[in-house]
Amino acid sequence: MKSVERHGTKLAFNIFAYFFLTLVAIACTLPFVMVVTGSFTENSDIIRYGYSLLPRHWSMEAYRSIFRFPEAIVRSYGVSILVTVVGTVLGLLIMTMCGYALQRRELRYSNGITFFIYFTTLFSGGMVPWYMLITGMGMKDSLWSLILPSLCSSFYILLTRNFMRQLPQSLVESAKIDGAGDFKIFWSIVIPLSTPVIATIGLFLGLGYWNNWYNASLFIKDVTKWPLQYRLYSILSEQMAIVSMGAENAASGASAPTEAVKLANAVLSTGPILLLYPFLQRYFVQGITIGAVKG
Amino acid sequence: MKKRLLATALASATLFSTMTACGAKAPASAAAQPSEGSTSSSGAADAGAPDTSEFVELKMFAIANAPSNQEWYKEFYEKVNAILKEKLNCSITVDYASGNDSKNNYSLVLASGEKYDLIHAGNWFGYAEPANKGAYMDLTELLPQYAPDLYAKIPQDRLEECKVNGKIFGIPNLYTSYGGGVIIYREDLRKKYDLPEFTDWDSIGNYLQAIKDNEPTLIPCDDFSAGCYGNAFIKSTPYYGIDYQQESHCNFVLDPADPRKVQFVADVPEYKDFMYRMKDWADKGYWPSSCLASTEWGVNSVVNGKAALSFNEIWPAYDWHPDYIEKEHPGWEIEFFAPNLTNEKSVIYPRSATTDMFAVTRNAEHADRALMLLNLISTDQDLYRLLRYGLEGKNYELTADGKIDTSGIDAATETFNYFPSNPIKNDAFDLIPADRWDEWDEHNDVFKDRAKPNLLAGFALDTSKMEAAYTALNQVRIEYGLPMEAGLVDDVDKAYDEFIKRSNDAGMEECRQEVERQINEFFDANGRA
Repeated sequence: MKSVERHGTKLAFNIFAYFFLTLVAIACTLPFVMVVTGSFTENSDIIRYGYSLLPRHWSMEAYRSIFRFPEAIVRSYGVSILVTVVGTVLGLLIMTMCGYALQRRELRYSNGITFFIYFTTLFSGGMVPWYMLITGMGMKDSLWSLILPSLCSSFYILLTRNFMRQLPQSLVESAKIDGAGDFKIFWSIVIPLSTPVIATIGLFLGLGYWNNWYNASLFIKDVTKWPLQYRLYSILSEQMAIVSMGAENAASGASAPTEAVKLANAVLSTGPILLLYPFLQRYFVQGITIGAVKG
Repeated sequence: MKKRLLATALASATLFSTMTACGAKAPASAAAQPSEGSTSSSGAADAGAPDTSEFVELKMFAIANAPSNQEWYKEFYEKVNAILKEKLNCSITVDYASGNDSKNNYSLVLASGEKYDLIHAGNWFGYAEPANKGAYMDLTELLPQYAPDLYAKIPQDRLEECKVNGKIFGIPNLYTSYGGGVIIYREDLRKKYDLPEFTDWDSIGNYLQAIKDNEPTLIPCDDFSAGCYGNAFIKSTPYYGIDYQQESHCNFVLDPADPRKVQFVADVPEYKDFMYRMKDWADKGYWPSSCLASTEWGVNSVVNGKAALSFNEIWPAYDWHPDYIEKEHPGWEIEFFAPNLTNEKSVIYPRSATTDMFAVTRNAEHADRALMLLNLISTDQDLYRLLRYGLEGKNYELTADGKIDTSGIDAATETFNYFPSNPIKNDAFDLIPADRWDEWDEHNDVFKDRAKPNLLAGFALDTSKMEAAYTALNQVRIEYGLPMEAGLVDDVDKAYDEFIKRSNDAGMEECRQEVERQINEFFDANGRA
């Protein structure tokens, strides 16, 4: 009897849970579906009737206008991927090494250095000095201007430091007794144990690089070096400008699928980065359980 | 995201201080440059023509979108540079700043003192402020010296408009447009419901009501934010807006009949009555109640068949609407209503000369050659057409009667936008677009005939002495003024009183006096009014 009853409540709970979670899942995916279908909708329909899940008229116009110069888009994908990969790998390397060093008790002035790093989160020179610094170092029109400025974040350094501090010191000590050098300890022991924090920071860092169009707008005037985000942004803003130019210019009464292009931009730019999540997900789960088995 | 917000906040805080810092240094370098230029050229001037024996690469900074059509872009600049090499022994490269970030980009370029031989300038980018701070080079002497033909062509009063503290920093174009704001609407619907032609605001109300009653698929009016409804107010009166804020808001206005008196916009007698009207119209559902948050450009909605009327068009931009409608939506008709033509007291004036200019940054190296280039553009019709319309047969076709035809090209990718041509615009060389409305000239002449010189041409409000109060006043306007102007309040009297009270608390009177002082100083200095 009892087990049947328990079974019954469990079933009810499951039904409820599945039902509820399905609703949540739909709520999460609907906006994205809307973006995708919207990008395939005829532009005048969006203006007249707004966005809808099922477009009245399907149209590839937005993609056609974006891919009018496919080699430019492909090139921009290349730039974006290069910047993201190089930036994330370099950034992770520097930040984990920095975090590792800071948590070692032997490091002299480690508090002072930590404060020095922390201090930069509170104050910064501001936009104009920053701009002059980057351009003054000759990074204008160089991909380094996309990579270097956001390579290191003091917040992430402190995050790695705190995470590594939790690792048992005895591991480091025993490795030392076995004759491992500092770099060996870092590379073979600390890094493998720190995958959760590395995955987290790597994802943030990668997303940051992938989504960053702002640096490109300031520093990259050479169109062949534009990352994807800025390329898409610029295609859209070019079209909007053309549409609203009107009488002041020769090309009048021009129409361009600006509304649909907005959504197509979103699809094109989120697509690749979306693929990253499934790969990284297991590290997040691991991150949660790592604390759980302790003690 | 958070980081960027912080960066922007810091940026805006530091931008001003740095700009002043750079400005402080500027006079020395600005003074040094021209004198250097003039010594070298005075020698050359003796010989007859300026020295162009050394090949230079001119750099230009344009507020425009970098063209996505790279093939044609390259072809275009190869062509341009071949001409420039032959005629002036120079070449030109253009850096573009596009979209919403262009303003930021522009300030940074000026503040960090980058060298651009030609840079876009205009009142929409706050021409007077960087000029005052020494971000641009003083061209007062260089202009007649290196661009004598252009100098001779610019009407003296337009050149005067471009002066800041008596010095020329920006060179205006050779094009004048007239008009100001117009209301556009679907004329076919007016005829369909047999409504009277527009003569006043009541007739507009009738029209909107008819649309509301009979055309369920159309929004009567779909303008973005309250800007346009506030704008509608200014259009309904003869007043001059002094300090246009975002879109069409202004805090202070003056009456052309009594120009030395500056009034707070809500204090003028017509204001409150207009608010009752707006409330009435909003209650009747003539526009969506979400209009405050909307970013829709109402004109776009009208020509695409989403709305019936927009308050938000300007006359010079109207010229392509009729042909566009005829082509895209046969059977529709579009018409304009210019409230300032029907209002006897309204003053129509030419658009400011400072709208589109070229300037030179303070430490540019080849100001002389840049000015010679502008001079050449103003005298060489072929070069002008190339720079203004692009490649013939690609960006445009020339019709048999000499008009510019762009109907055959793909607008999104083949429109000519490789060169920022507004600052070089020239009435004498300009060609008529083939899709311009046939009756355009006729109507334009009506505006032209009524046009008088702009009282405020060349006036730039300096907010530095009332910064705090002025900022507060703008805040009050956004919080209390806009909802009322869009008719989205429960009780107009109450909202109006609240608005006035808050504005007074914010320091409206202090600002008003300061604006009035500046206006009067300006009139005294220019002998106007």
